Amino acid sequence: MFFTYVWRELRRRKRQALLTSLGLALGVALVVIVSAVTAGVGDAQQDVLKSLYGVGTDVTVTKSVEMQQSMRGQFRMSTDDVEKVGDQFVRDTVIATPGAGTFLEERVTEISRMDDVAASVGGLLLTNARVSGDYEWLEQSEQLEQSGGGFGQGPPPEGEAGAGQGAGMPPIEITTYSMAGVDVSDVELGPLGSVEVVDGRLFEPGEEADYVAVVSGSYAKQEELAVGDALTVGENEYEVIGTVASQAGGEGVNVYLPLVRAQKLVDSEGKVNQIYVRAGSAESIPAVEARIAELLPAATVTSAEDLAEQVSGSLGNASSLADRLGTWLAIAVLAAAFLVAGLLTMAGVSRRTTEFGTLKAIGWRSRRIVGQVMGESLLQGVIGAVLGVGLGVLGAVLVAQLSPDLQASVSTGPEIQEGGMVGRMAGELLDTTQTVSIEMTAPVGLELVLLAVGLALAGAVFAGVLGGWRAARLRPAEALRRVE
Amino acid sequence: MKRLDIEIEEARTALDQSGLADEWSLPQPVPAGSAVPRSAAGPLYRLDAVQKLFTRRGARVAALDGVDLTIQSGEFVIVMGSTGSGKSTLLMLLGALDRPSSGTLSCEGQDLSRLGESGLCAVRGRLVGFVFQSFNLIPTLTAVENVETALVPLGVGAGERRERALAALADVGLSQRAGHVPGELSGGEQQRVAIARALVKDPHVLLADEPTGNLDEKTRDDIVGVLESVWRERGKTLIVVTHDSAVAARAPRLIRLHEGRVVEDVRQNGTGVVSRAADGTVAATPPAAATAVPEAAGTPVGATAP
Repeated sequence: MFFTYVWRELRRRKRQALLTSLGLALGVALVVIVSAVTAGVGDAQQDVLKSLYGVGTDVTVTKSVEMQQSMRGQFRMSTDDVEKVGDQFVRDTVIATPGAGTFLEERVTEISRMDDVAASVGGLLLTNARVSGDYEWLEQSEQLEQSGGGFGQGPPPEGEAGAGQGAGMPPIEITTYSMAGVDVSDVELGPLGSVEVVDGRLFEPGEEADYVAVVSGSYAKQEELAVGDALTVGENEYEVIGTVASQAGGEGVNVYLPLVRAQKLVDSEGKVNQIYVRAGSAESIPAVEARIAELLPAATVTSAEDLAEQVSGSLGNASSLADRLGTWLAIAVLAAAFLVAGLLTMAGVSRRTTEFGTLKAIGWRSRRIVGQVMGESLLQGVIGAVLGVGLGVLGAVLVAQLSPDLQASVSTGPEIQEGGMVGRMAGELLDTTQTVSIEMTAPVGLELVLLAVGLALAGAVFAGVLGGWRAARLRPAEALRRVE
Repeated sequence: MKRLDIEIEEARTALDQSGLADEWSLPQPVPAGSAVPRSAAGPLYRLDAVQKLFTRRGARVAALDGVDLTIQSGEFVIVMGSTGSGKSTLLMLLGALDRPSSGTLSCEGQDLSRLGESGLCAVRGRLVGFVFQSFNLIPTLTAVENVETALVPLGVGAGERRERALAALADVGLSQRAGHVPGELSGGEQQRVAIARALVKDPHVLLADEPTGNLDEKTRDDIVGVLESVWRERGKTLIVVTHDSAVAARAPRLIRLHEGRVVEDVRQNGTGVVSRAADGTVAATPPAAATAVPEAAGTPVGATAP
């Protein structure tokens, strides 16, 4: 009788039942979509962090230093130290990432001995800058410099500020690629932690000082390199032993070298500018951060969580959109759906005053009638849950399919205050911004489905309670008097 | 039966809490087909100075104003009166749908005015069968399912419920329409379903509020015939509120209300054996014949002066 009555009632009031169910479904679907997108963005952030940071790396330690005056010397060029190719000059300069201070390797060992630290390795990020331009212009600049002027001295003339190649700027081109000196004893921790080997292999213990290199797939393609080829860096040739791709599709480092070789390239033996730390557990990360900060007060200690806050680009926007607008929109629609369901149910009970009055007159107790109203409401909730989960999954799939790839950028370099030629070149060199492209996903898991069903049922219970409350308050005599 | 036992037990608890347990004995479940336990001794209803007040636009209005009445078990009573005279209110009180504002209303010796909602609900579920002017059937349920609704509060199992509902429909001549929803039935058929619903639980009293008000003349006669047969053949107490003098003429006793007071209480079966005791009790003679006696021919029992 109960189920027959419930089912027939809903069939009789199809439009109202459908409206209530659709309202709940819409609210639930939005919650599913927003939650799925949020989860997808969260996954994307994890991927980005892995890519930029290395799988298994919990904390990185760096040190920012002001660009030294002596760096100017590195940007200076003369006809003596460039290679002439036709009418053009070309000069490659390998430098440790400017603005990044170095640590002694002993610090790495000290950190690895700390409590809650599972492992720690050092790395050295390098930048190779290739400056090319008009050879004749370089000659003229050199002569001008010798007579007291020259490029790289002070700010540019008014109207020529910035790094752009505006009117009056020297006709040069700067291209850079990044390199990383990697501790070959533990390639899982550090920049190689997030790569997949496309061809060849990674470094192996024993290759600490070998002239071997691993290159990113895109760099290999650009330079037409393959495993077994020779790559010239500085004055030496390195054998390419592997090509790799970032798991997240990003391109951080172009060339990986054994740490010792990287140190020698920039005369920084025994020094690193990145320390990668793996904590014993996720819970101990803050404690590890604190201990390292105590050991190295001048260092910047960054966890993946800190890095996540620095992520900008469309991923950051998506994250912010999902967190703020999406969440509030879902809550607003859900609240509206609950309210509409409640009001419709109450209105439905009011329209059925005679019916419930009659049932009370023939001996039905209030709680049985409340149960009937609740049953009808719950069935609408179930329908709403099914529709909502369906719509939500469909919406999540569409969002994942139609949304463009997310771009994430993390900039950890110092700000460039200096203008002019030096400023421009330094800007190129110091730009440690790494951009990663991530495919947007919107995963809908069992927990999310259960949450959606729970919300729809909660809405139904809310509506049922309102309707039931009204039904219970009906006094049979008044209910019948109203129609007689 | 288990469900009924639970509900009776809950009603008992309510009575215990109100201190009325000693005064009120709740009905025991009656198996299907068993004889109705008629109250052989004493009146079915006794009303002493019953008053029912309503508040309308801030003013207190007496729908019933000092009604004294006694209705014996097995009587067929017509209640008449103009709109607003209090006849429907009287029916609500007799049907345990409401409580008097003051005075005493007892049913089978028990005071309904002191029962809580739970106790009243138990009385409605077991002792009283209602028939309404607008039939008040559940539009989505079939005829047999509508009849079954009356057995739901008694906790009757699904199988027995269906069996008894079909039997009740057969009693009112509607077996062949058992599977039809109200919208597929004529007014007369719907009222028959409503009567079957009222009778299926074997109540002690059948209360009908304008049962022929929405019916044409021929159907009205059919329905009155069905009600009469219920009274005559099954010995049920039948109390009918009506405006229809043709219906009123077929009952042995007529009570007329005016502005909440009983202004006329007559026997009209021609026997003339009607008396009114000092306590207001009308000594009703069992009907000797179904012959309708015009209202005008009725013997005044002594109107209660307004």
